[in-house]
Amino acid sequence: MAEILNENSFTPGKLVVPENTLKQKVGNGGFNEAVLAKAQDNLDKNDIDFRPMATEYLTMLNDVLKGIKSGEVPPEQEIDQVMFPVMQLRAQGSLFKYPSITKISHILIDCLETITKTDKDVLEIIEAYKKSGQAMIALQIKDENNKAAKELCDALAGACARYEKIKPAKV
Amino acid sequence: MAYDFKRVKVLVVESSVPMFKLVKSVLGTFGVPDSSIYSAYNVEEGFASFCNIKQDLIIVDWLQNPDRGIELTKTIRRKKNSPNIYVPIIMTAGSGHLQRVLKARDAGISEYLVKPFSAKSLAERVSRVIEKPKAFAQCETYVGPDRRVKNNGYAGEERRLSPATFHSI
Repeated sequence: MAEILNENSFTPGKLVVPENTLKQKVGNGGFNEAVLAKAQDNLDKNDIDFRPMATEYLTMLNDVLKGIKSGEVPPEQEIDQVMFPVMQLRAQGSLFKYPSITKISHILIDCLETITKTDKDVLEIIEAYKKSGQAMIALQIKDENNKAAKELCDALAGACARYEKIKPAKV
Repeated sequence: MAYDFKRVKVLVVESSVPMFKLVKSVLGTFGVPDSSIYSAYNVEEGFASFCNIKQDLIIVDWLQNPDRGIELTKTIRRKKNSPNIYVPIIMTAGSGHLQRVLKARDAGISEYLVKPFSAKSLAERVSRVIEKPKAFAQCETYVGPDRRVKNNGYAGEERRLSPATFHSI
């Protein structure tokens, strides 16, 4: 399944209007506001412990960093491999009551999405992110407005901004 | 009257079990029966489940190593043995960066949802695939919803040649 080619022989440029089977099944009327509120309530009240997951992703990130430094990770895959655990942390932080993790991950993602390859400075930024994330999990710093969370986020944002100024050719 | 999801089958492809549970709880509240929400934790499982169950809606995460969610989308849209190349696919990811969204769009997704998500934002994506499904473009290099979002027309001078003029040259 690694290489996917278009196995169907289609007429180039053909536009098809498929049958809307989903609509046929659900009918009309949209979503009931009360249902949406209840679903949001379920999301908000989940009691899943984020720490084991976060630790797993941070360990994964640590392994990727080691792999990059040792040359095991192919250069063209470096950013993608770093991005996966960071995207998961961003995605899951707020959902599992750690908006601080979502916020700091968002800062790193914004920085990484504009570059294609790591260098010493980028690795230092990722390392700083990892340590900040570990601290947030260990000290259970959940709230993004917490003083320590703010300081860690500001420090990372500052490092990313400095990198973008120094290395404009890479962005 | 509201949507009735009792007859709808959904495939959720997520690498994380807690995330799957969360998505499942939201879908369950929307009215999708628990027994109609199928899980898969990687591309192979996801495609096998789809071939077997032929779900009506797929929610797929970006997944790992790299872009495996993209790979699954392309497989569903282009593989000869895909049971329904037109099935609505909602892709979820922890980044909404433009290049990433474009990559997902070019793979043939129907909707893109940035995580963390709210129940309302998931409902909006589901509503859109129900109420505003796009026509499907099928060509050698792309199979998926029509990627054109605007048709503002062209106000400038017509510079393209008519077929007759072109063939006379």
